[in-house]
Amino acid sequence: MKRNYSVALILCVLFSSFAISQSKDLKELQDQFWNPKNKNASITEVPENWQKESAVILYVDEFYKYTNNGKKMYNPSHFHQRIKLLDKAAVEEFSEFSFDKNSSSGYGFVNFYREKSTVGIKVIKPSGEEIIIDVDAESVEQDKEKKIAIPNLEIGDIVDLFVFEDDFQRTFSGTHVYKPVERVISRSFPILFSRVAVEVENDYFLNMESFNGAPKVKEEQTDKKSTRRYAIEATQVEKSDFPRWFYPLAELPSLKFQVTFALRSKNEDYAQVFLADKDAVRKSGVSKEEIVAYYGDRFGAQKRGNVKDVLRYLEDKGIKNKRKQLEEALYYLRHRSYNRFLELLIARENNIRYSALPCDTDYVILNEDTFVNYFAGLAKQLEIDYDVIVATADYNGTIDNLLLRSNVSYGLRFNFDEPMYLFDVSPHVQSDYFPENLEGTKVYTLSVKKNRKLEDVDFDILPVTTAEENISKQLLDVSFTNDFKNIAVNREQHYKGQFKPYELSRRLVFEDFLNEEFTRYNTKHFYHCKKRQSKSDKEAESKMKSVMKTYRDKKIERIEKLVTNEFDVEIKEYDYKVKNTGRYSNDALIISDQFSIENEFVKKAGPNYLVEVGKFIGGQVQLEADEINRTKGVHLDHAKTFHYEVKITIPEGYEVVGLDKLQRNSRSASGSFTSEAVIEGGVLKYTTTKVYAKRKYDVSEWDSMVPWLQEAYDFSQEKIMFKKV
Amino acid sequence: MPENISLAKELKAKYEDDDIVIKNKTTRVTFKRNKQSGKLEALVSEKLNLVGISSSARIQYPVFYDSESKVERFMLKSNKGRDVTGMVKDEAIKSQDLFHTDYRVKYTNLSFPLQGYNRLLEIEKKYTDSKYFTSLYFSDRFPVLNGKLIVTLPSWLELDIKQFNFEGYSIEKKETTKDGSSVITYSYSDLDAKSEEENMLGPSYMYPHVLFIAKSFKTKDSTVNLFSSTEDLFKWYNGLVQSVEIDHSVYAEKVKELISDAGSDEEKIKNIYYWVQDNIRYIAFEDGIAGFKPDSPQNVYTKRYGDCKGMAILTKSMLEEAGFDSRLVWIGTDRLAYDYSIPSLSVDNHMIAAVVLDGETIFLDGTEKYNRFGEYATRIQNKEALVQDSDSFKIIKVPETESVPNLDKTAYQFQVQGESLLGFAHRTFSGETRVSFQNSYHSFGGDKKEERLSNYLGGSNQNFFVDNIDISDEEDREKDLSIDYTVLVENSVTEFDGVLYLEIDPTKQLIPEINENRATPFRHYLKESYITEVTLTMPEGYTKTELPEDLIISNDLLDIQVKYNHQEGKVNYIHSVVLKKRVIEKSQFEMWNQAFDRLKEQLNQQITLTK
Repeated sequence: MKRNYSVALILCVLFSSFAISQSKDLKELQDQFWNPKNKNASITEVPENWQKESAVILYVDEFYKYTNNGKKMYNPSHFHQRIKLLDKAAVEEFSEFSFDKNSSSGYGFVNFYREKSTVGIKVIKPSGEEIIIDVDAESVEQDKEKKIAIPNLEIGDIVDLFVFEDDFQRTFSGTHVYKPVERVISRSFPILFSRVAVEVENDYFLNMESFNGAPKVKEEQTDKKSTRRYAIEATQVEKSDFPRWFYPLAELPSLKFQVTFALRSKNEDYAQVFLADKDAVRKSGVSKEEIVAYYGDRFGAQKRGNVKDVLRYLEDKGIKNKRKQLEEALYYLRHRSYNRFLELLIARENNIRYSALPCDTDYVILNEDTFVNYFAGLAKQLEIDYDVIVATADYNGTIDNLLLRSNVSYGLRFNFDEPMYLFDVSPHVQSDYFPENLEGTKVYTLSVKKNRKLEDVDFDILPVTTAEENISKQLLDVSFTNDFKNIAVNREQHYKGQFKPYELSRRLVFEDFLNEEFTRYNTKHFYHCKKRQSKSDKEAESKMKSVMKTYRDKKIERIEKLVTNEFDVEIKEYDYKVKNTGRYSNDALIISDQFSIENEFVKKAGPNYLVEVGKFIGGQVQLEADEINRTKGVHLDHAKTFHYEVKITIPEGYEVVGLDKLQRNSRSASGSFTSEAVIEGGVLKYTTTKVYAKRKYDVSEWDSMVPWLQEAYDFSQEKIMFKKV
Repeated sequence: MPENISLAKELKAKYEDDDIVIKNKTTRVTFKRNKQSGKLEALVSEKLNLVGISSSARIQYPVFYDSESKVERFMLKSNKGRDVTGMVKDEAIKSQDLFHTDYRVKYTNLSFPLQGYNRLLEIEKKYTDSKYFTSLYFSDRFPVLNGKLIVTLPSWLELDIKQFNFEGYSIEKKETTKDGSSVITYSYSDLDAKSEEENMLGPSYMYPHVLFIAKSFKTKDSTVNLFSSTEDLFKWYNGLVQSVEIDHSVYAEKVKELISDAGSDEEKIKNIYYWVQDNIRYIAFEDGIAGFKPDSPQNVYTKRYGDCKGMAILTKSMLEEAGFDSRLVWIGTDRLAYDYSIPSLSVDNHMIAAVVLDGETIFLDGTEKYNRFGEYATRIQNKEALVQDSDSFKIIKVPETESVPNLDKTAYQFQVQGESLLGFAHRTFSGETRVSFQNSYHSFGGDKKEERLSNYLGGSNQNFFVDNIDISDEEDREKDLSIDYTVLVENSVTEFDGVLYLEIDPTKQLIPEINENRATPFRHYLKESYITEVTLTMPEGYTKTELPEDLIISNDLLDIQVKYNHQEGKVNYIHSVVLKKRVIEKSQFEMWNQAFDRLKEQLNQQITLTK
């Protein structure tokens, strides 16, 4: 048994501050955290139903405090956990504890930029005896990392540990946006009592809410008038369970919070955060009026002068159709403002040139806001009606529960008969497909008045792509050598719809598609800007070519590995060719490749051979016994169809027996797996089609998915016989 | 320059998997007496000329050091001699196996943007005490085209140089004298890069290297003795051990408790030895002298953790407290190629305890969780042990445990049910196979334990499902471990025209296939045996069988048997693999892989049942 821990997803708490400060007195902290009056932190027994767990968290408390004196922001925080260890594995896991700057500690608590931490650890024996560990004496320090091996730890012990951080940082701008925290309430062990609390003073803004049935956020009394404290407390929390195809934050009890420091009211405007009207008062959601106000401040369609290069391009090319104009503009921007900058980044990373620039100035510096303003400006010039869209990816939850600015996807809807949506640029972005995680989500649509002001908020549901348009199709020609030891495969892969950008990024060599773009847009490499190439440009060119060659070799290696993973066997003699990239239309990406497989998929039975022909459709989802009964909804990337056409040449002197095993038909509204097989002209031909009809399924639909998922798996295990005649 | 490129291309053709080669490497070793410390210092200075042979490459070149050594110079130069060192990073080495060590690394990033690019590295490293300067390897992390090791030995120094693994390499040794010093020069060429492969032998078995044994040096008025013999080495080791302050009272009560109900001496020793195995966690500290001097037994006892030395001294002290003749033992595990004829710190890397019972020395290694009293882990078998003996020492070879094989055996009782095989299994683990099973099993917690075990029992067969697992006492090390369970193997029976084709072996345990391009010998973790037995009840109405021919392979490396027979309504199948040698030499790869191919082909054969 290989020692291979799959550590359960630990969603860590992150926030940032610079700090140099002294810690509170250790004794004082021990008294504070190990106060016997705290009844929740005094329990030592594990409930009956958790006796078989590896460990149980009896108590966990996280606290974050934000105060300031006008010059410095103080952010003391603490993490306090009591965990009972119920087997050897738990003793092993919790016996070592380390804490250092900018990395996670062994206990899943992280605080950035801490200069001064105070750690207290005591071990409570089953007899009730309490042993306080001398942390300073027991720990070793190296490169600012401190490690403690907790002594005298045995099964049945409780480790009671606190980490207190006393940090501050200076603010230069008067604004500081702390990183948001988003995580589920549960952890990798069951929890008897869990608490997260945030305390903010005036000048701090707090966005905080709990979701999906998590306990409500409570406000607690504080000593100071200017200070407010909010807490989420939960009891009897089962350990995290993250099934296949699942978004924890969309379904499990969870919490989110974010703190922003804005000293003077003018600073509030700069923060890229949805702020409450009043500091220190918790903001629990974002209303549509606030959406208008926030994006209204940032929106402004760009002027003609800023988009003139793309207008000129469209005119030169004679593109008149309005939809086509936007499409071409997107691909133009993709090259001019995005992909060619990747080359410059590579030049910098490889110490070839630190600050290379394109040869022309026809590009925009992209960020979320300028992308929207740029295309709004373009739409205005092209006289295309549009709205602004504020959306959130479905793994964050829904737009109704919006709390954090960082959860927003900001984009545009162009109001053609069939609307076009644009959200972002990426190396292989397609005009007709927006990010899959926004499909079917509820969004705000903001209509625009005179290209300057946002008004009239409404809701809309974004369209979803279908299994008919998201297609992965593979055509395989398979032949055997005479002894069935070697299998030669010739394959053509077709990818369409949402499959395409993903497969383009996995299967295309950067240099190839970048050069394709340089030709298409008549632009030049940075080392070709000058008419007469200088010596240093010449050197840069040869270095870049060398680097690109290395990148290419590595990419090809990765592609070979991909194919190995698809069929779960080692492949040999791999060769491939991109026949069509489809990067400027909805045409399929087409790749042909060939490879051989040795000594796999074939079993001998006397003079006959049993061949696992089902394996040619690649690995299929195998449901584990505990997956059959599902309690959570199913979230896929997108609806999709996998289609295979496999042709196997029957070696001379053999006949095929058992063709009926390849005839399958399992259909439901949630999807299907079907297959057909025939023998024609000495060739065994079969086709399979697996359809995931939707991208999001309610838990009640799971039962109807299981049969066709299992049918596909069973097919992949199927053998037929090549019988000697 | 074109000639650089053509050379680089030539080299790339030769060293396909490498991005860099070292065109020239010169290492100079000199010694100095430090009057203040009274110690002999060693200075190693290296000059390397690295050439990029791939289209482009970025690497990090590291130099390791610890609290006994310093990196005094680390400079990177362009081929024109310009200093292009840039940032030299200095980091502690983190290791999963070591909780804390003083090992550190200095490194710098080197980029070779074009094929044929040259870089020069100059490194100087100083050992403040020659005791810790033990060896130099000729091979490097990259192939070396030409290299020289030049050792200057002043007349006041008595130092032995021992050569290892020179055979098969072109290494020339020359001795000259210069200014009264003797100068020894080793010239070598065409060394492959050191490999980083799985299942490797320790580097001291494979790569050409020299050990430096500084025996003594003269000062103006005296001779300072260093390690001139094994006695000296022992004296130093034992001195460190003797300086540990021991307080038996801390664990006296525990010892009493452990031996109170024990009937025999052996039982008493076992109780103590097993208690240490079970209750002291292995946490390794290697920091300066702490790498050689154990923590006190009372500390280890109280903290319930320690490194090998801590566990050894606690075992020894508890046994002493119980009235036994117990000893500390220094030993080099099978990673090291040396024995105690060489007085050097590089000879050992481990400490265990021993007890003398009825005149017999029995070794006790507390770090080997679940090890049975009187059995020894493969890693120390046949290795020389330096055993305390009053004020002196004895050297004893740790015997091989031959009585208990490292066996993993499963017996299945199957019947056909549709396209599946259904039945019972009984699996047993013995010897070190049991030990390693118990260790893995306990590393999983809570409900993961059974899930992992289920997956493990089915090997790589994803259609293998187990239920009703009944495991014998999982903590016991006195008996072999056994597991009973029910098994369902789906998709293992196929019917064509009323004939059943059956895959009778559900796990098809193969031997590892060895990559024929592998650069180093392959070493098995253990000398193990695997047996799979299946008894299949013929389904009703089926009377005839067509069974594959038996497979029998027997050579120096292994014995394989795959046998079938049909008797009284049952098909009996046995598949056994016995590994006879741990190390497979490169010249044996072909023979090994032929066995692999034949076994794989054999296990892919179906048995046929007809009415």
